[in-house]
Amino acid sequence: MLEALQNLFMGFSVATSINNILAALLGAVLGLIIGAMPGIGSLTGCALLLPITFKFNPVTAIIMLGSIYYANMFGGAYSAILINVPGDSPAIMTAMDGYALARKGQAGKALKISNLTSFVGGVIGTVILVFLGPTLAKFGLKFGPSEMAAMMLVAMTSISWLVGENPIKGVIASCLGMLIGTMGVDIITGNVRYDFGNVYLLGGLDFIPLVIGFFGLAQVFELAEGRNESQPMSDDKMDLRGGRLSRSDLKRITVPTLWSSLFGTFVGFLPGAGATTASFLSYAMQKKFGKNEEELGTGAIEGLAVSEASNNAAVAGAFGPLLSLGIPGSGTTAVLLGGLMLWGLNPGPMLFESEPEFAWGLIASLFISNLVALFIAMISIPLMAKVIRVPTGVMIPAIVTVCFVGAYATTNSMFGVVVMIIGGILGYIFQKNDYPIAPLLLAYVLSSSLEINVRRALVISQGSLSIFFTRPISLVLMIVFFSFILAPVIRNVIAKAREKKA
Amino acid sequence: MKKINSRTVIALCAVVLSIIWIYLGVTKYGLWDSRKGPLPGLFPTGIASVLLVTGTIGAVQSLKEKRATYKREAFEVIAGLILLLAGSYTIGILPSLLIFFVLWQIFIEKMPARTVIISTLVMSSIILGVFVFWLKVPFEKGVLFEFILK
Repeated sequence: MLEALQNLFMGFSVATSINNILAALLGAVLGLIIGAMPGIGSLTGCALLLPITFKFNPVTAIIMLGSIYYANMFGGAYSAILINVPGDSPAIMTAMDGYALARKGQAGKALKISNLTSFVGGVIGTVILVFLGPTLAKFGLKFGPSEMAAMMLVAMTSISWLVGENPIKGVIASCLGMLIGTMGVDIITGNVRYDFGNVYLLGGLDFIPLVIGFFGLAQVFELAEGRNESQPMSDDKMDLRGGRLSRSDLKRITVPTLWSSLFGTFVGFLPGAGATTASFLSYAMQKKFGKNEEELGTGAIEGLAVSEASNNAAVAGAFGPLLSLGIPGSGTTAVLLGGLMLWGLNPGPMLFESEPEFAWGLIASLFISNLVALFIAMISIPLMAKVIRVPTGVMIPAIVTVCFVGAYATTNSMFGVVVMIIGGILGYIFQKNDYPIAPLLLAYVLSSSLEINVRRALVISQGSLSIFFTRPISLVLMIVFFSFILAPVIRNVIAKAREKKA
Repeated sequence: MKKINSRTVIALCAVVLSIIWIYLGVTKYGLWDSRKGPLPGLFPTGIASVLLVTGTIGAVQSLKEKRATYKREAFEVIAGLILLLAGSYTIGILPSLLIFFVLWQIFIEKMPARTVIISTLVMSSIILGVFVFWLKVPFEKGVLFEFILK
């Protein structure tokens, strides 16, 4: 415990350099603006803003990205509360009570509660991360190649099953992601493969243009299709500045905020279960076990508090498996992992040993990002109310422009732009046909690590797959993996049998 | 008879890709060497085999699923992107983006002139400030400007 605190202080000495604080500040402002725009969300936000971080050294760049991620979560609540359009899926539950409060003329109060509980959730999540992160990494040190490979399979399948309604589509998306990830140089032998004679594919498909296309540009199609649908706009007379929190308000939200923050952090630690799951489960639990469950959905501040506290706590929790095991728990953390890899950092059990300044600098920066995001969010409530009213007609060409410029800036070639456009069109077609994109991205990012570990395990076992089933940790993980695969199949069989009976 | 829809096409494309990956993995890159162990084709072939099976199941399943509907607005975006790409090759990225940004708002979105002017000024300052002056990205000038500059 003392060691963790000492390391955290060392992390603060890294994170509190002027450059890093300015980067966190810039990330918070940009993240808040992007997050507040209806329909953008943290994943698209991080993907669009990733190229901007290229100017910095790896530590500063990741601090900025972390700040963008946090601020996105703060920002997502603005459109949910003011116009009933969640900026991101974790803010869906926020809209339930937040918008109801806004309609009652308490928009300012709702935004303040949202900001405050987001902050508390983030701080509690990060405190738990400080102590659990290194413990998880130490546990990860016991992992050999077979255990790491099994862990990655669990991470990939869990997100596949959670994101899509149809598990087959999740597997197809994951496999496609892995196949794309195998293009270019084989890391073990150095041979080039699946390049199809194209010089641009020698190093594989570039990560950033692909992510910008899949998440940024694909969003443009959604916005274009939905621009004629009327959106409930907020009342201009909403009291944004006012709405002081009374002592009884604070008393009402204290306990729900604390338990949902703890709960959200542990949900965030689970692979595949990110901020959205955390906010949905917390809200459901508050409804079932909370004091005034009948008020939830009609403007109860407890509902707003649990949703925001848990989703921000889950963001901090998601950094646990990312830093300690190199396994992203969600689409957004997959983007962060991709960013880390681009800067030559390899998150995993060794990160805390080999790059302590980076690992602890990042964790310390989460505290700073959280504080900065709270500060900016509190002072910019009137500005944010204007940001969410940016017409879709302006957002569409603006996002296209940022996607175009971002894809070019990261590759310095038109090939990157072409990849981004193809990625965007494919992303749109995938969304239209209910193919989840997040598993594809996760699989693409994890592909090379998974391959290295599978091949190393097979070298150790001289080609026998039994290595995945004879070692205790990998056996447990493989049981979990197969349970994930078989659960939807069994569920379908049972549902069909029930239908027949009926 | 059930008709093929875009869901079927995606699944079939996945099947075709998996066959290509398996073919190249087996014939070109190799799977296993008794001395070296796993070769570069092993992992991709394994994953492609899973994709082959799931893609086939997905194609069969898709015949029972509802057709996805596409709206005209999405094709406007695609047309805009193609024109933007063509423009980038001829007159350069930044001028093309500027023209796209303005024309899209005027003709597609029918935005008021004030909004167009303000948004163009804001966007231009962001792109020029961040990407041109700060990140110093050497944007493509396009064949026309390259020709004139020569």
